[in-house]
Amino acid sequence: MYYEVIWVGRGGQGAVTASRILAKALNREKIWAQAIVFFGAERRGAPVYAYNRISDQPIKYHHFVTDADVIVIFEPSLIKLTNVLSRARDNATVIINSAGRSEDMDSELHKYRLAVVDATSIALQLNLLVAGIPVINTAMIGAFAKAMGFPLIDSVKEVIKEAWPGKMGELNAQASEKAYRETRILENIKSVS
Amino acid sequence: MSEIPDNHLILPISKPTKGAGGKTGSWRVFRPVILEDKCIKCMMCWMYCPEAAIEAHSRNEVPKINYDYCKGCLVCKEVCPVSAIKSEREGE
Amino acid sequence: METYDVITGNDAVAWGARLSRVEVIAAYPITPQTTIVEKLAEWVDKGEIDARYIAVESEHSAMSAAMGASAAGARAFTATSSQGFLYMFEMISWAAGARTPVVMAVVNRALGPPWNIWSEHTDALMARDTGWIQFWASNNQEALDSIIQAYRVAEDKKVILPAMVMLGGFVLSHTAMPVRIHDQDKVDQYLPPYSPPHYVLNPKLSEPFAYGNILFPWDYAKVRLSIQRAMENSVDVIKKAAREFQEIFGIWHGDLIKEAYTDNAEMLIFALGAVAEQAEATAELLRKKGYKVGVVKVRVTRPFPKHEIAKLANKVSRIIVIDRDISFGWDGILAGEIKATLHEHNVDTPVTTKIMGIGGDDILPDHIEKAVKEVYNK
Repeated sequence: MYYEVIWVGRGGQGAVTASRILAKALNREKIWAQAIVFFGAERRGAPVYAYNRISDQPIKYHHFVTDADVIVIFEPSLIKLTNVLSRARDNATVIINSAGRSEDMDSELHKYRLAVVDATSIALQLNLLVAGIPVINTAMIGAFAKAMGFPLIDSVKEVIKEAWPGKMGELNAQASEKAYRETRILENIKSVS
Repeated sequence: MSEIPDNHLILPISKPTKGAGGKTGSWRVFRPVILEDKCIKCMMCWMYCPEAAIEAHSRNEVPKINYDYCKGCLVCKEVCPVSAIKSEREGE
Repeated sequence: METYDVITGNDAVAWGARLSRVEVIAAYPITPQTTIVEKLAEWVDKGEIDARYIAVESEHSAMSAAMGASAAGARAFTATSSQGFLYMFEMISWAAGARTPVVMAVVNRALGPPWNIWSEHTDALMARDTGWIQFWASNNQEALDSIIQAYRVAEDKKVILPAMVMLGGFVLSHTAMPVRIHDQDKVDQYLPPYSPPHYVLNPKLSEPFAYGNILFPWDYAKVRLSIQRAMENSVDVIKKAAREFQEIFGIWHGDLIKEAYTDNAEMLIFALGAVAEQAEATAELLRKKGYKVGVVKVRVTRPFPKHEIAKLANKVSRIIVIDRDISFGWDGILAGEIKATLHEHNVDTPVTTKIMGIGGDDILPDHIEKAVKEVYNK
């Protein structure tokens, strides 16, 4: 088992936290995971990357993930802005936050196994907002668990509740579970397109 | 040059002693004097004395200045929180 | 109770200090070190650790306070990086001469200008002549464990010198990975409370003394030579500390060095910290491709493992030293040290320096592979 993951979001959307929560959830299942971040001169709104390496063995690599087996995109506009799909391996899974509008579905996406979740609507339904911005990162972890089949969604929820005790953790755990249930996997999109 | 001893722990601490310049008390122009009735025995002067020339035997007594080695820098007078140290011109 | 968690290198260092039962923490924040002292400050604030946190106005004061606390008999800790490390430099040298076994985490970061916050080893290597023992952590577990080992070595009666533990900025400091957080009782068994030599700043009221007074050349030389003797003593102390750590915790990070794939190797790569582990991961790939490459992680740069390195170097025909640092006008700093070592031991294996990763430039396996292939068939 060896996976490399790229998370791409905008500053403030919590991509870094998502990669760390994922690694902690995997650790509960005795799966070895690194969570790597690139810190630069980020501001709220600028593209931000976080990475995971996931394996059944301890990992000794210490560089950033260059090409990935899984790419998690926090909003469709980041596809063109960052050109992140150029870093997808063949047979990569791409997980995207989208309400499913046709203009969100970049033509490049159809090359990959695709998982779609409307994380923004989930956050709004749960009234999960920080400084007026919907919190989507925990929903995206739920989408990851569904798309990849690991970690267990219960592990994700436990780690989230530990990270934010009280109501905030409760809401975020709900968001991840709701996303887990609502994520649609488009396995055969290649043949459709 | 004398042989250097092979020791792994020589510490940079010093006690008042007769050095190249003899007893340093003779350098003094001003002499600090502790006013016993004002002293609150906080030991600030003891702590700050750069020559370790202020001694005490317990926290219940007024510290004593070792005039053999006190150079008269008057740091003690500066740090005393209750102005219990005055200075006097030597010889007066 | 022993637990496993996915934590950053900085949190691992904070745990190392906590498990070592540090009594005084004096530090000033600087990226990428800040979260170490934030974590410790949080624990002190919540009463989770029985330590005094001294907020200071600069790194110079941080080391002064840590040194004062250590001289008074407390187990003192601080952490810094890069520019802060340089600002502290006067007191770094002083702490060694004063024989105060402070332990400091140094999160390696490039020096300005140009301004840069990412990983580079030049900062800590600048202090290799100060009298501090220097450990380099290659992953987060080693960062935690090296803090504990550093106190064991620094406070040993045969040593009594300060020790610094290095970890790569961001590469380890902000990268989370699984770490075993040891049982406190086991750490207590490994690291007894600090029992300072007689000179603590708590002399009898009747026998005050001054600390760090001027000494004339003949006496000064004796004091400075004693640092060299203590450094020499520390070689065996470090080996014993690593061995006993392995006995109690079952983890081997190496002692002064750690070897990987060195059996029947024709070429060796030498490197520090996470770069060494990156080289180890790359060597695993290269071995599968038929290259007989081994890796020597230089875990301690002071005292420098001269005998260990010379012995290994003598068995191979090529050496590459990867330096994430540079001594302008000379060479990679580690490469320079290794070349001098080989000369001293009459080993004539050619050494190629590869300076990589300056200012946080990512060191990819491809870069290491290319360097190896270039030198391997020369």
